[in-house]
Amino acid sequence: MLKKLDPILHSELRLAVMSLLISLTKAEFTYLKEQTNATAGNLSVQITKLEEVGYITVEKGYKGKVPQTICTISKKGIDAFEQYVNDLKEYLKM
Amino acid sequence: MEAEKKTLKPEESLQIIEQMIQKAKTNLHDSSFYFLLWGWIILIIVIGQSLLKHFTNYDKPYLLWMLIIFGIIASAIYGIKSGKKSKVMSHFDRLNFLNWMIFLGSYFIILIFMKDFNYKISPIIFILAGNATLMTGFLIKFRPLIIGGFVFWAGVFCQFLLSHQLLEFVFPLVIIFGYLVPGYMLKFQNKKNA
Repeated sequence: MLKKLDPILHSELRLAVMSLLISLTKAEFTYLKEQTNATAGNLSVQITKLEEVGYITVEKGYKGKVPQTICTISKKGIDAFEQYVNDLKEYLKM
Repeated sequence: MEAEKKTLKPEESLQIIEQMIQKAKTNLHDSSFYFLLWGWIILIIVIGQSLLKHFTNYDKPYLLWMLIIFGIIASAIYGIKSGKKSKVMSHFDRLNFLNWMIFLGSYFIILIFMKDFNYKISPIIFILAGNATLMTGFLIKFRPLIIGGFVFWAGVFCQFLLSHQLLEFVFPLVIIFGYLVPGYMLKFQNKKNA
């Protein structure tokens, strides 16, 4: 029987964010916004969800006088992403 | 991009993953500045040393190597500034940074024990520079840098096989084809892709 895909990752924007972060050591919120074409509000909600389940860590600080949010994928997030890709492969019988 | 509005099909998920990984991949930082900076500094030192030796009575031409301090300061300032500007750091960027920090660390260790090597450290420096250049070339999949790395290795052979007179011509060529030509090609490619 096929496994249920991780509901946290099985969402367009959250999956896009995780796919970007898996390739990067860290990324700013503005970069994620540019790459995903998401609205700041929507992206912020999805990032909070990913942070709540421990898939990413979020650091808030300042770059000069401008507020800066830096996202980094966690070990748990990497494992979940790999599991999600493996489950996808099963679905697609790759 | 909207979330939560529709259920994703597995094919769509796969497409998102591919698209985003591709986007992140195009984010490599331009490292041509360092190759050009160091290429020019070392070229000036090497040619300057030869000119001072042959055309002046100055007895300390090796002091030109102090210019390296300027290179380190310029690299550090550029690195800090571009790091501050950057919104993202890729795994490649991190590996590349570590690669050159390892080179720098090894370089200083050799400088400290220079006397124990009877001051014949240039073949070792060439091997280290070649290794680091090769590593960057392979990391960013840029063939001119890979060739540049091999040019440094070839430079090591030259140092053991050629006369001192010939080496005065070979050293600048190694710098030109090891650092400067790949550096300008990288700069040109990055401008084209920008």
